Amino acid sequence: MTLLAVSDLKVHFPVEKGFLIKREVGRIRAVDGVSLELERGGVLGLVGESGCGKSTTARAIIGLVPVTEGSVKFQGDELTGLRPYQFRPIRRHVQMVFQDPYASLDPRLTVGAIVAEPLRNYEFKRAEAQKRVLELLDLVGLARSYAERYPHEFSGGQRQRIGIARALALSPTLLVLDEPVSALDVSIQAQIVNLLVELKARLNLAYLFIAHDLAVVRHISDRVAVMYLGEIAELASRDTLYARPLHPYTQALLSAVPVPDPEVESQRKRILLEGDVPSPDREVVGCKFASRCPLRARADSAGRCEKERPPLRPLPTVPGESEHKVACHYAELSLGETPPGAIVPAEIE
Amino acid sequence: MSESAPVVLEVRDLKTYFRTDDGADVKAVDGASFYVRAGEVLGIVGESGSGKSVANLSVLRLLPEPPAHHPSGEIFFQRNPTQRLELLRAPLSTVRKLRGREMAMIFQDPMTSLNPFLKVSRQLTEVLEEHEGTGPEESRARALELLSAVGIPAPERRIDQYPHQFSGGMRQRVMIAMALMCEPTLLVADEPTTALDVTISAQILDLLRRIHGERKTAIVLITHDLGVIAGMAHRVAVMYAGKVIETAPVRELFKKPLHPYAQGLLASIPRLDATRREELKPIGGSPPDLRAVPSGCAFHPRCPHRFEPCDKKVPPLLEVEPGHYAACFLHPQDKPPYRGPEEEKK
Amino acid sequence: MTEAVAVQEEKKEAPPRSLWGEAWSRLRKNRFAVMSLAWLSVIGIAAALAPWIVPYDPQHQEWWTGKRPPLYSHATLELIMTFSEGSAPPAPFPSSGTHVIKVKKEEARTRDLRIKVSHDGKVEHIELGPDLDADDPHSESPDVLALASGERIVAGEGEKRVAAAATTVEKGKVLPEPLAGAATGQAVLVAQWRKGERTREVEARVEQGKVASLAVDSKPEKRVEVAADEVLDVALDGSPFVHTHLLGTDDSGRDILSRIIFGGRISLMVGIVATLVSLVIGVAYGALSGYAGGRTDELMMRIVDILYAIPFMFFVIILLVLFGRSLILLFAAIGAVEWLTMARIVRGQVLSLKEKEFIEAARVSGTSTFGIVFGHLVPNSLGTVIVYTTLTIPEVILTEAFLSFLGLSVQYNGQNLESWGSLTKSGMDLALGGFPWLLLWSATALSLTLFALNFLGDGLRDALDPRLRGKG
Repeated sequence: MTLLAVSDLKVHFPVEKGFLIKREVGRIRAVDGVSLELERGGVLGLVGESGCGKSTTARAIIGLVPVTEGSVKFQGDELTGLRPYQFRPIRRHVQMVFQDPYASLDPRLTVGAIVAEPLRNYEFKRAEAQKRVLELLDLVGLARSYAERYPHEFSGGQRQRIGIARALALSPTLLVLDEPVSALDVSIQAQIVNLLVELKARLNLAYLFIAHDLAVVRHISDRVAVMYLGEIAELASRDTLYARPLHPYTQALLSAVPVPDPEVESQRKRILLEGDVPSPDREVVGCKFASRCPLRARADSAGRCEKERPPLRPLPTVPGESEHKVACHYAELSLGETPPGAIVPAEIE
Repeated sequence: MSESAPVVLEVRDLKTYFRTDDGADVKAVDGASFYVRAGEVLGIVGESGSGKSVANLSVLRLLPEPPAHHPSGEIFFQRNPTQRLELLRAPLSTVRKLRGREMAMIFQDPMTSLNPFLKVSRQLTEVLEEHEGTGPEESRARALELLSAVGIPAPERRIDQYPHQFSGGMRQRVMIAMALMCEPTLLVADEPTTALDVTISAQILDLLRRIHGERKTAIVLITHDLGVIAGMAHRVAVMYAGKVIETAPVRELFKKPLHPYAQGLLASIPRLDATRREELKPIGGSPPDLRAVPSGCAFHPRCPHRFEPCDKKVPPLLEVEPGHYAACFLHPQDKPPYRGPEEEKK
Repeated sequence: MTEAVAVQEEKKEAPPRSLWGEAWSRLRKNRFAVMSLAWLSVIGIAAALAPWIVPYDPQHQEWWTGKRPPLYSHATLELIMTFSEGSAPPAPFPSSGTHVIKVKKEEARTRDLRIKVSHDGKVEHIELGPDLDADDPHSESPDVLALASGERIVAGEGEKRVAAAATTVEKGKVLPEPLAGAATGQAVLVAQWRKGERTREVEARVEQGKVASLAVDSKPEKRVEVAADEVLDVALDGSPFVHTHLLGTDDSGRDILSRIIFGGRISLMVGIVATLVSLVIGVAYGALSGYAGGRTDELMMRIVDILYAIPFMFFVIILLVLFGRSLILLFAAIGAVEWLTMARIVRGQVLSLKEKEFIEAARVSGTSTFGIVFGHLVPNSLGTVIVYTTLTIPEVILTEAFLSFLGLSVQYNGQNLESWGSLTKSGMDLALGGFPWLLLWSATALSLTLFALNFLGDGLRDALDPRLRGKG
């Protein structure tokens, strides 16, 4: 059953000029036509580099930034265009975990008050809320006595647990996780990832997991969407995407991730992309990746990449694959050949 | 790089403490020893608060003293085949002359080390003109050459722009070009790719690798990313709570980590090339608070193997296997202690 | 339970510490801030309890003790004091001994009033001394004494002779009949003295039948009335009396210490109340403007800019002149201008805070706008607000002092309410005339308090420094 359905979501931020009377002089297309679906209990990984619009997509879904165009449906209910009071009942079911555990907890409140905030907003009785807070602390592996303490007394990992406890307070069905481990120390990341995996299984949660770390996304997700400049470049089940990336950007991205193994590293060939991600304030007619695409030189003699935006289209799957959508005119060229960025999986003992 | 290449930098038993307002010391670096040979890349890996950055700031004497002070330690820098300098006790003016010329540094955030009010050209040529007395024409030519070497397109146009006109990746390239202006013998790169995106970071690492291949500069690469270490370093020093707890050639270390912390780190990171989704094995607890470092082995509260002596005695760094040193009581304690690079030569 | 959940080290059982608690412990290490806090507490408590703790009524004028230096003492006197022999003297003459009150009596001539109080606390003897202003101190000892008929002369032991007719006693002459009987020794004549209505005892020393000297002595009076405006100085048992003016008196003889405490009341009240007014307006306005953002914010801030452009002092002066110099108006006038900066500061804080993830987290948790602004944004900008408030109070105090200096001190029921500013101003005029303490004390109190507030503000800023915050 589809829990969340996003179709053709656009979030544009106007660039305004003028004194009191504003006029729009341009717009930043942070999210520019994103469609994705998430099943109940599923995990969709959303990866991309900074500025690709993955966080904005998440914030638009949860109503933190206004949607310019498109639709977000949660359990069949349209969320876009809702007034704040109309959104309130939805918030019970969709919660968010934030990236920076140092910034996402109000430093003036005790842990108990932080975790209880959603409960108070939904008219829980005081005693009831207190009981629930202690349950939640148990659930995320924090001592009950921590309820009396303040966020600054905790390390990053513990704070992130507090953030997770707050997100779980109202027993949501969908958690939007915005880079929940990237601000943490290496040795702590695994604690939080494991906690998230376990909570998902135990509470039958669905995750929209946003990260730039492809290894972490691979570890936790069922399906993965790769974003580039506000669009989805490739969307596939996890194994398909990592084993058989078809979009040249996905290939480059995967090849760029260093692997903590000198043997593997010395064997790897990388696709190095030229230049930087272009600024999202320009209107691009064709493929947004065209300016950096290594495939284009080889494939696009017709100049199609610059003229025509490639739609996110399903590609024929090989046996065992569920779906594979790619936004590239020439994705078929990658079919059948081992992409240069793919990693030959090494068996780990 | 061979085992007999000269040692460019050797740090012996370095302690860097910060005096706090209460008069207590924060022991950021507490007896760290490492060295780097000519043409070698030494990776220093550790989490936040492990002292990896502070140790290298001490090497360049970039820390304000006070509050920083050094209760012990020696830092030897081989300027040329004949001249070997001790930096920790040397007058600051001597060290200042070395900085930028013979020892250069690249930081995580290039914006902090580039002056936003000066054109890139000025910042690049300044070192050359001041230290080497090179003429403006000549140094500009060198700057242009380096900018194109670090992969900045249209350097003739870009050289007269200001730092904010460059993107993050490009700024880091400018930083690298700046670091290379005087052909330093030692390059300290402190988390050079942490602030950058994956694809940009791959570009920068590739650039560093290329530069190292061409110029054979000795590099100290500080990072928390084991992947970066695996791809770049020849030798690795793992730091924890201000101490080097394991050091070995890179393949040795990844193949057979000896210290439980290094083992834990490797087991806790998800790998892109893993075949199955298996549960990660995290290290419990949190990195230590430097104001209250645990007694004995600082890692013992988080260590799955801790036993009798761990919380009482500090384990010495011993050569558990040839060329592979670890500071842990799990290993036989009759092995030779770490004695620096000279011992290793034989 | 897997490792991930089981992971949890025991936290050392220190009590939980809020950010406020930490800031307080940092502040306590700042010596200057603590000293300032101590001084402000003293001044604050003194000002709050002024009516109960001041030694004197600050409005009570005693012109006869005007411009006295610090530590000066004199008696405080009732308007009219009555001394009668045999009854207890009026306060403040409790102790036994001989007290001297310098008075101006009878055609404004200075005399000593000598009051002897016995050990049982009763007035034993009252004596009015000779005229001290007269050129010749003996001028009251006449050479010729006219005795009316029927006046007695007492001579020797119990001997009474009465003048049959009007007669004259003259110095150097033989004592007339029928007084001549007391040829030698002393005779006491009871006569009326021409100058006054009082009956005086005249002491006539008779030598060899002649009047050797005549001296008017004070007649021991049974009862004397002294009005306050007659008193020049009082000494108890010869030494200066009881009530000490620690900081001296002003030109009207008002106690400076009391006036400074009461002045502090006004100065601090203006400082605190006007700041509170600015605080309430500024915080609410700034927080709402910052949180609303966009066009609303722009509009609200332009209003602030416009108000900023009004010359503040003119504005306040015009208000005070037009609508009277009432305290409430002063609060409102200063507060109405000071809130502008506060609003800007709070807005800036809120603008940066609202981008923080915990605000987004609150929104996701379903917290209302009101709850976010007043539950998260305002408490988190409070640190800066407190620092700025601490620094605004001295500014306002100084503004009020300046207005007082211009002669625009506030009034209540038509009376000037003295503040440190007006005290300093009135002191200024006389300080150079040899009475430096008139200026010194109020100026000192004012500057010490301003210093203290500034030190405290700095200390608070250091203690609340966000750079030290967070990283546990």
